Amino acid sequence: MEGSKIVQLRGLLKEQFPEAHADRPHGRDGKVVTGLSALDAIGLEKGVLCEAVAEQSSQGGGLLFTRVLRGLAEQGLYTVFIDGRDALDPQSLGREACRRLLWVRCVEAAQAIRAADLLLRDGNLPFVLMDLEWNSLRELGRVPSSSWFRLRSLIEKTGATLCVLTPTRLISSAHLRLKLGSTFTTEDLEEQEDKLTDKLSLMITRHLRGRALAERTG
Amino acid sequence: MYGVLVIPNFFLQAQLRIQTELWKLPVVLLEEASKGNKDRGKARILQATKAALNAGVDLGMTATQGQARCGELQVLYRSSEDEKTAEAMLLDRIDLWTPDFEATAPGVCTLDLLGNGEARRSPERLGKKMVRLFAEHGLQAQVGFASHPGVALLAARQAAPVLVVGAVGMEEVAFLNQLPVQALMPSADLQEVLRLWGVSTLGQLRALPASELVERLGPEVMALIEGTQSRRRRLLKLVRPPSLFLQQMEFEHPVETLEPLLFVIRRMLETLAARLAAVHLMAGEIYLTLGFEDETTHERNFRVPDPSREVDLLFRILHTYLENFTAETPMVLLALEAMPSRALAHQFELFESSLRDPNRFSETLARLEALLGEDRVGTPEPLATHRPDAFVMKPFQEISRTDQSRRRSKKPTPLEAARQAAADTIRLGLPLRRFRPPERITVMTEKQGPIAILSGQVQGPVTQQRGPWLLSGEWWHDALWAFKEWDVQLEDGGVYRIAEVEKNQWILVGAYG
Repeated sequence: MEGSKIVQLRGLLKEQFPEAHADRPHGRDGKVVTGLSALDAIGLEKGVLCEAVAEQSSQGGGLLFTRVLRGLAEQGLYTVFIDGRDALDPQSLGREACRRLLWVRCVEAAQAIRAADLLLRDGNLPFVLMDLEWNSLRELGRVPSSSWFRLRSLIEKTGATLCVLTPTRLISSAHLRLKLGSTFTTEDLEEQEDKLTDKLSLMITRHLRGRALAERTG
Repeated sequence: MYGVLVIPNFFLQAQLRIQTELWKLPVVLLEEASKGNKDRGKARILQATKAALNAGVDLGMTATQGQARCGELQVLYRSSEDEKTAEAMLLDRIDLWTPDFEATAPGVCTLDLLGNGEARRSPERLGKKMVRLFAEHGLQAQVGFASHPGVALLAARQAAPVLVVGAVGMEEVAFLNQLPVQALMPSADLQEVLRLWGVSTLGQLRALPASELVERLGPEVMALIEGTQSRRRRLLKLVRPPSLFLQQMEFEHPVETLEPLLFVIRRMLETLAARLAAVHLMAGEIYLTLGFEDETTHERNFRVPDPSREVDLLFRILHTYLENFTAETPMVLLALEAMPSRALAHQFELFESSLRDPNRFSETLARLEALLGEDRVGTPEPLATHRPDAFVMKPFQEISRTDQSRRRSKKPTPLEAARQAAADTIRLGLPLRRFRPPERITVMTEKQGPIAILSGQVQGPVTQQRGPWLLSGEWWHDALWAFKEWDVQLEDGGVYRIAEVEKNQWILVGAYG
């Protein structure tokens, strides 16, 4: 009886405030609404470890993260950006997106992993981005795969989403792996950002959709 | 048993406390606000000495009118500082007789003397002691005792200088009945009506039928009568000195390790939490002071985002910090002070998202700071300058709270909205990621433009270039900066920003994409 009342109330609220429900980062199907069409089309699920691989410079890794951070901030959400080489330019990100950002400035990959571990255990901020693209391969190679497994189990436990940008295929335990394939030139520096976002190419190279969902639903 | 201590003409007494010789002279007191004002001449006389009143000066006159009646009249203005000092002294001394007392009005204190044996045995003697004590401090006091605070106040106003109404003194009913109506301080209109009716004492007033009295004169008259009735006893608003939630310990043997310190800290927190619980408060902030053998001290302030008195939580906040704290000499002193705060009341907007557990998050931030350094975790705030990479790091919590209050406070002005819209819509190019610190590189140039990067972590021939962009600023002081920037694309496809800071001195600023 009580349950049916709650369902009715939820239905009523959804009817009255459709825009509020449309904006939730985790929609009804448990997908994160990032505001970046290329990523939303793939469907970044809640409780997922996502690896975005940019094997070359200027393939759009920065653009991907900037747009996601801005998109989540526009929804009124606080996000974490773990910066593996302290490279973020706050002026490129914009004042509004900065206001809802927790920027964790690391100098090496080991620090970034430790920071991610602390923040995922904390569970207050459900979306964590980690940029390891500029960390050296030697340094990244020293991160044991057990660390990634530990982060994955934390993510599955807390329902958070972790998205990691790497220079090479690195995370064997990733639920979703995307390969960035865009190329940009100096002429693109005068293009509007929206048009550049359309050029952003994300190729799925691994997607454990069924498994992740099954694990989450128990 | 209640006692009321009244300092008649308190504002004047507060001023003449130190210059007692002025009591014999005609002196009047005017409102402080009028001092130095162009309306100073219109200020009315609030209080006056007996000599001034005897000389024909009346309250409510202007100073000029008063001086017309009395040529030697001295004029003083109210001084809030003197009044505060006198009030503080009054409350401080009252504490000698009872901890339960009310600061009823300026210069009026109501004392709950239930636990005072002397007040039961001989209130008259106690009253005289009080009068004597305040006389030593330059204040002339009047004291009244009764079983009801309202009656005690009336007694104090009629006292010369002590009056006891009730069990061992004058009978309460008799006292009230003979009391002139003016003693109740009715409004001027009511006082005039009662005078016309021929009602001059409280006894005559109380003899009239209450309901019909209210019908004719309104609720004011009822409030006056009820204020003197024992069955309408009010609760006193007791004055309580501000509590200090402080725990301090000086170690007999200097402490060199963390474990014994943590043990003491937990005990201190348990005590502080119990004291806070006794007054239904939480700890909003904790001040930690550590004293060392070389007589230096270390102080640190910890804010508790969601005020709490949970010992484990407060302990964790301190533990996280102290885990990474080192000192050159052993510790000899530890002090913990909790700043009391009320429990946070949240009123979120319907679809607002906030932190699930602010205290836990604060602890996580402290751990991250311990791991990375103090300015490495937070929220970046770009500065309003064209200087590249100009930003400051702000604590994350602070910004989130400001944001919530800002959203509640007001809508942006049209100018702010236009600026915001421009900032949001006009976004060009790829975001930059910076090399911090910028790397020195060697660049081969031709016709003053870069054609290849020869050293550094990115190298190769330049395939495309844009620039130079001449940037400079802050030339008006020592921190001036000026350089030429170029956007270049190398053979590997990477788009970079490089800058010539001085002649043939190049740096790698960052990479686009």
